[in-house]
Amino acid sequence: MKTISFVAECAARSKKTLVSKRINHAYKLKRIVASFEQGASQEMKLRFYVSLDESAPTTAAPSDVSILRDYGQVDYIIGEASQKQMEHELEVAEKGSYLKVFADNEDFFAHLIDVQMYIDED
Amino acid sequence: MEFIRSNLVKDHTSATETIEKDLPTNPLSHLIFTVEGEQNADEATLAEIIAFINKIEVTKKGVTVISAQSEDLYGVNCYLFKHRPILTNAITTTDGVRNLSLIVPFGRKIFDPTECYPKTLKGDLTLRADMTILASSITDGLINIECVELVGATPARYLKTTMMDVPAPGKTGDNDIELPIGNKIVAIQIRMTTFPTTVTDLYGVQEARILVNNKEYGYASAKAPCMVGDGIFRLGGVPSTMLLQQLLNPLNTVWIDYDPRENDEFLLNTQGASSVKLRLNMGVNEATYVTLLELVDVQ
Repeated sequence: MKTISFVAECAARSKKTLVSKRINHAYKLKRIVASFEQGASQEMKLRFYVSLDESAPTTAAPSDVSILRDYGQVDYIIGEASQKQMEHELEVAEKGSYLKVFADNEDFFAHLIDVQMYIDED
Repeated sequence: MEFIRSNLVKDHTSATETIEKDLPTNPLSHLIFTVEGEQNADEATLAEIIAFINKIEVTKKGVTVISAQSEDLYGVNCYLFKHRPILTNAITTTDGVRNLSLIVPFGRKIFDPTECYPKTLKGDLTLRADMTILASSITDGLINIECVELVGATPARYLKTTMMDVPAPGKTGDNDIELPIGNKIVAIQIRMTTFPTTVTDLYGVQEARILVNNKEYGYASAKAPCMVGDGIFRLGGVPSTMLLQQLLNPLNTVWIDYDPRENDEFLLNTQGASSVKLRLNMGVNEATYVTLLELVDVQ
């Protein structure tokens, strides 16, 4: 099991994409943990992606398939002073891909993106 | 071999939305995705109509089978079927109805029981179409989606189509893009922003090559004008969709073809490689859309 960590600030009323380093193996995504700071006020949406490219768009979501899209009513999470633990298994068969976190901060204040993804490498 | 062609979405009124549908459980050959609308005053161009379909995705339990913007899917249709997708009624009359149909393929050839998406359990395979409501140039939009199932087919492989959004490298010159490893690459489609016009003679991508384990493989060097010329083997002549429009359709697109004889002889097998790179010599520092067409073996 390996932990892939994403930490950065998302400025007020802005979008940001954080990209992992290239993962050169096939793997299974097992779990995602996202922490929301006090004051996030459910105003920052986090989406998660598996991608073949390292693009990090700042005006729109990445063009990849959103991980939480599968059965969810929405494909993002929100929160306020809380930690969300998501058991979410996804198999990535190709060797050479990236994990991404996309933050859409609709608040008038900056907020911290703090996400860890756990993968099992083959 | 029996096939079933059926409506998945029938005369659905166009809206800004994501259309989400579970696909049938039988092996799937292809989908037919059609948008229809009435044009306003002037002829609605291909670029205008295709822009209402933002993206088409097919996933199995969250894993990508197809993920492509409509412009890239248009190019993939040209590559696979050697014709430009059907766009009806090139007239300038108000309320003239125009239809555009894109094929969403699960194999290089349609109705191929050996190359299609294998049977699934209900709810496993999902289609998502990210749409913008037809407006301004063409209105009163309707969407129809049909699917073709091959009952009892036992495919050995299926076609996977995924788009890579390659960011601007920050400079011109060589830009290495690591490709995923594990499948057989049929072709790599490159869609540029910049193409020669009256104000520039540059291509967004001037030259392309493929490196496997850091050695050139197949495409040691291919210049953009010659790759444009390769179009003769796939769809040939008349490029324009409207009178006096001097655009090449599919727009600004070239292919790196590893299946030129369509008999698997030259496929780029990435399995076992430690590195597969697409090296693009950028004429312009710009983002590039790269679409991978891969064959995935059915386990």
